[in-house]
Amino acid sequence: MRKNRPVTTTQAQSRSLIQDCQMTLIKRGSTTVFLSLFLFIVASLPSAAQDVPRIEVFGGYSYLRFDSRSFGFAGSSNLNGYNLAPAFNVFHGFGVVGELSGQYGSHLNLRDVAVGPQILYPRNNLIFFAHVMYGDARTHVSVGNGPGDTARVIVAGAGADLHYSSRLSIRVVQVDYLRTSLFHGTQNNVRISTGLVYHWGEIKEKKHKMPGKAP
Amino acid sequence: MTPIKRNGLVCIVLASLAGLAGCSSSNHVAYVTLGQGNTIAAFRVDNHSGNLTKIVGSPFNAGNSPISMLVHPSNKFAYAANQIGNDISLFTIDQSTGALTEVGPRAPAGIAPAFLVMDSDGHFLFAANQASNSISVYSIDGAKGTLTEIQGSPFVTGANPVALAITPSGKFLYVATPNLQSVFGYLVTSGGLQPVPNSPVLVDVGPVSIAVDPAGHFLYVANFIANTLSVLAIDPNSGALIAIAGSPFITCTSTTTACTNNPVWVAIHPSGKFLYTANKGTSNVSVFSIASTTGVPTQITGSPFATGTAPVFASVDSTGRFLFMGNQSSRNITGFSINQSTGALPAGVVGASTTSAPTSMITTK
Repeated sequence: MRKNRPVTTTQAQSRSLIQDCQMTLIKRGSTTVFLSLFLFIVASLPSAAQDVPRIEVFGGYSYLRFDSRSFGFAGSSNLNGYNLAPAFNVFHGFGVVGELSGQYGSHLNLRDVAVGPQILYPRNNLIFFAHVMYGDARTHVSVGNGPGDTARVIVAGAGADLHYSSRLSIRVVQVDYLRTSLFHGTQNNVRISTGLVYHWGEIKEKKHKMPGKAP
Repeated sequence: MTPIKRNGLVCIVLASLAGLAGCSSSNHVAYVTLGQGNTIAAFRVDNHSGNLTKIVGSPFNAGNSPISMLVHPSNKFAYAANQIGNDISLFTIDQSTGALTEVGPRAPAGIAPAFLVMDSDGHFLFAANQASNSISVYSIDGAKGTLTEIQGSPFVTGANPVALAITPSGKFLYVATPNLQSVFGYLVTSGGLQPVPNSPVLVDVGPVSIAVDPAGHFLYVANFIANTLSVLAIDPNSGALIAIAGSPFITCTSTTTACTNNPVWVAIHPSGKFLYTANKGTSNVSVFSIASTTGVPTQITGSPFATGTAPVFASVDSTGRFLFMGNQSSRNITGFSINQSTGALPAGVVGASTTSAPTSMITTK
């Protein structure tokens, strides 16, 4: 029986990790550039639409990068699922939004219900929005005895809707940061959503009257 | 700023947010056998701080009273000796979560398997059967991890074998037998175990734990009742053991008061420069520096270091940066970072509590 001592691989693993991170950032950087260019071009298209809908419902796909390291896992987890978000706009630049969202992976899932204020910024073909929500998140982990936990969630995010028709918009991108505190840890998660927005009614932008010239 | 430029800027900020997501770092996993609960607890070990994070879903179900555990060098499999079940469990390790999943059937062992060792290549596994006074030897399937007992196994050894140690070359296996105050030595061959010359070798009272230094030159024996450390030189050709000058060495620092620290476990740093003993009687850990040529252990300044109550094992993690102590009475794991120059144990590592008394610990690479 020939026996050799195992080679220490700590340095090699560290170099590999750094290279992995660099490659990941390069890939993400490329995605960011393309997305920026796309939005920039779309936002530059001429249009007169400056109104915002009274009621809108977003539904679509969402990807969640879940911070499962606090669960003792080796790294973050990639989850896929849905995002459903109704919103009621109180006046032209402000409304209330809620969400029901769920993402699923091989070892865990996360669902959340949250509500909060949302601001709107319509320009040309796009309506930019940003929101902060507060609610509950629940996870189920399919490891060992399959525990679950429920905790508070804070959602902060922003996005852009591209006007398509009087009833429909395309949510080009919505990016959210979700902070959860499941299993006595803290998780900093990033979620990206896209899909369709159906809307009803409209709120006109108030025009500021220019002072008239004296006769 | 024109509206187009302003909108573009907002777009870029949004898209940049979309690109934000942290890089994950890979750490390793520690497994702790919990004999009373028939489970194995799992913790993620932070490579930088040494802090333990319990893996959600842990502890994992195991056999009847797991007491000793090993991880295969491939990091794909783990094995646990079930002391009451009289068998050995095989687990697969989930690489992303660290979760253990037992793969049946369990490999039969002798009566009360109490300790496992494996050669460094992961080809053979050895189990000390405490109540049937024998050593079971298994070959390991590298692809599936399954155990097959080799022909002639189990091999008879001294009464009450409680601990094993194998040389880095895998050539020699040693067995601690406290009832006989002796250490048995065997040459490991493809056909099994053959006694080495002069085996068994008498040591001090109550040898309960043994360890071979990484160079394979010396065998260290913790004598629980005598409160001493025996050091035996290993003949590189025959595997015969010869006590070095001065052995056994007292494990207490004071020579004026009675020494009652009851060293129950001995562990050696991967560098071979330091040695640690878990002192169950005084709830602390003694740290010794090892002279590379003579093998003589010298207790370092500041030693011993306080642990939890009644430590029963000391485990140096695979990186050699951290030491973990399993405390039987306080039911927890105490963590230390290791000073790589002196071997000292400054505090600061976050340990963990366990649901029942921990009996052994192993970390993945």
